[in-house]
Amino acid sequence: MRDVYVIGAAMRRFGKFPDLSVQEMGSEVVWRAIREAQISIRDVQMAYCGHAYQGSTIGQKVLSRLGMTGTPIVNVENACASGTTAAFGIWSAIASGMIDVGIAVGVENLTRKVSGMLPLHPDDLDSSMGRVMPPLFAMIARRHMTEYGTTVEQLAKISVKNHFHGSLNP
Amino acid sequence: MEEPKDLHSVPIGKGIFVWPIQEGEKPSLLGSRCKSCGTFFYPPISVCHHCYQEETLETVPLSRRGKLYTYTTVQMAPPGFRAPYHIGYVDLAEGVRVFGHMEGELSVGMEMELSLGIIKKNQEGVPVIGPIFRPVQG
Repeated sequence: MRDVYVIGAAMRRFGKFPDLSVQEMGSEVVWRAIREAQISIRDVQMAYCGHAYQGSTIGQKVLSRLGMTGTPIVNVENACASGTTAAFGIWSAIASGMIDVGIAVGVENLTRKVSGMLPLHPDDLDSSMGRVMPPLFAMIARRHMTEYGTTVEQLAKISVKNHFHGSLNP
Repeated sequence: MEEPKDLHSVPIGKGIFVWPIQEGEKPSLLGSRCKSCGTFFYPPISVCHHCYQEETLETVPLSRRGKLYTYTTVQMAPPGFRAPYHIGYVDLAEGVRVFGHMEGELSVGMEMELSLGIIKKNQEGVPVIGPIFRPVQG
C-alpha cells in the first residue's frame, strides 16, 4: 500500500433545495474540487459516488454533466456511511496502485425524496414494528445512561460540539 | 378442509409466533435452537451463527418473560401507527434480545411478560398483530 493524498476538495452549503437537482449540486462541487486540485477532468481515472435514496446510477448522472464518461464509476449506498465508503473506495484504488487519481463524491437531495422520518423498511422485522431511527438512538442512549450513569447534560454536550463543528461548514 | 382464517387481523413478520392463538393458550415468540451447541436465536434463522454446523436448528417457543433492556416512546408515528406508543427490547432467559411494543409504567431491568396484540394497521386498514410486553404484576 502506498500513501494517498487529498489534492482538492469542495462542498456546497447544506440546506433544503427543492429546485436544485442532485446532478446540478453534485457536478458543481466536483468541478470546484477539480479546479482546486489544478488537474483536468481527463486525469480522473475512477469515481466513487456515495448517496442514499437517489436512485440508480446517480454518479453517472452527476459526472456526465461534466463530460466524464468512459471511466469506471461506482455508486455506493451505505446509509450514514455512504460518503465514507466512497472515500474508502477511492483510497483503496489509489493505495493499491490500481489508479493514480480518483474522485469520491457524495450527493443527496432528500428534500425531493422524503419528508419527515426516513421510511420504515417493511422487510426488516423490528422496523416493520415501528422502530424508526430517532427512537432507536433514544433507546441506545437510555441504556447507556442506565449502564454508565451518563447524564442528559453529557449527551447534550456532544450535540453542542457537533453543532459547533457544523456551523464551521461553508 | 380449509384452514379457518382470521380475516380481522394478520400477524407481523413470518413465523415469529403462532397466530391465531388457540383457546386457553398463552403466546410465545418462536426462535431457533441449535441441537449441536445449544445456542438460541431470534428471529428464527437457517444456520447456527455460533457453530455453523448444517441442519442443526429446530424452531422452539421462547420464554414468555424477560428483563427490559431499554425502551422509549415514539411521538411521531410512521404510516399505520398511532403515536404515542412505547417500544423496547427485552432480554429472555435463552440469551436472545427481542423487540416489541411496551405498555405500562416502564423502567430498565424490570420483569416483562409477552402478549400479542394490535400494533398497527396495514395499507388495507387490517389490524396487524405483534408482540406487546407488559410489566409483570406483583
